[in-house]
Amino acid sequence: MQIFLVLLVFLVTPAAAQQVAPDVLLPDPAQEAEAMRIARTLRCVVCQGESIAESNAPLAADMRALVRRMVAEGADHQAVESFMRQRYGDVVLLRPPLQGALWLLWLAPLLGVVVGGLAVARVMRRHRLGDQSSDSKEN
Amino acid sequence: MRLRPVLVIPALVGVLLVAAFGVLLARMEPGRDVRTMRSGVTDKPLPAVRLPVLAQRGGPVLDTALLEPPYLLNVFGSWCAACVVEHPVLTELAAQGVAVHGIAWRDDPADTRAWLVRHGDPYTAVGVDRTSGAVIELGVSGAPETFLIGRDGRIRFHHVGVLRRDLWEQEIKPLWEATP
Repeated sequence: MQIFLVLLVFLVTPAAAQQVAPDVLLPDPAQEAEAMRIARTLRCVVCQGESIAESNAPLAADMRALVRRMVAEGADHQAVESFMRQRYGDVVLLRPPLQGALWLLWLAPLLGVVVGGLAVARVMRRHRLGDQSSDSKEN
Repeated sequence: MRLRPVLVIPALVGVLLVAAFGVLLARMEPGRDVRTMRSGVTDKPLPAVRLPVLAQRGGPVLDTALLEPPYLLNVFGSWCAACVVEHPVLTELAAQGVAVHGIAWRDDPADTRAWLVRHGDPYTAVGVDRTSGAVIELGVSGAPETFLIGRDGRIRFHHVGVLRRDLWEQEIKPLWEATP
């Protein structure tokens, strides 16, 4: 059964498994490092959970090449980022900018702690009051 | 027993969450992939795309500056399994007189040609994009994807995934007919 599943994987992959030529690095190590630093902040739009720096998807490889070319031509992080955002939207950033409903998402845990804490505090206070009143009854 | 907020609030939150997930679930339908990314290019002017064409049809290059809108621009490849599924729809549209141009993405021209011989060729011109230059310019994340270019040269519709007949009828055709 397992063997069958493994074989099935080989049947399915040809569509995705295109030849990806190895990356051509920039001759200037500083520029190469900068290009990779930028690439790590950009989402691979095929696999979505990875940055284009680490993805093996053909499109990610082509995007890396593009980032390298832009960096070699003097583009900074912001220029590359806005280029990608114009074409793919904010999702292309692995760390989307804080705006609109995203604030709620980021603040939700804090809000939860505050609301939860208040609730717990209230329950405890009532509990203590309850203890005291029962104590006074017993006395 | 009195309803205490400590008990009611978590229950209410739970109910709201279930309701929210329920709404999201109800909005899912077969054939609609909720993971597909929203397009960043809809209603923007079509970027300049110049590609060498396959088999010298319609000039030596596919140049979006020279194409006469409205038309459909379809990203495909012989390696793309889903492209076979939508191909009959494109063929039908081309037969109805809709101009369809193709971009063969990351594909060996020989393979593209063989694929078009096997499945039929609805394209007026096919540009060859072997290194994703044009495809990135268009905000494409996979194949197939289809764009409707309006008469004003803007992208009127960007569809990620298989072009279905009902999608054409319900969403793209009205835009096609009303293209400004």
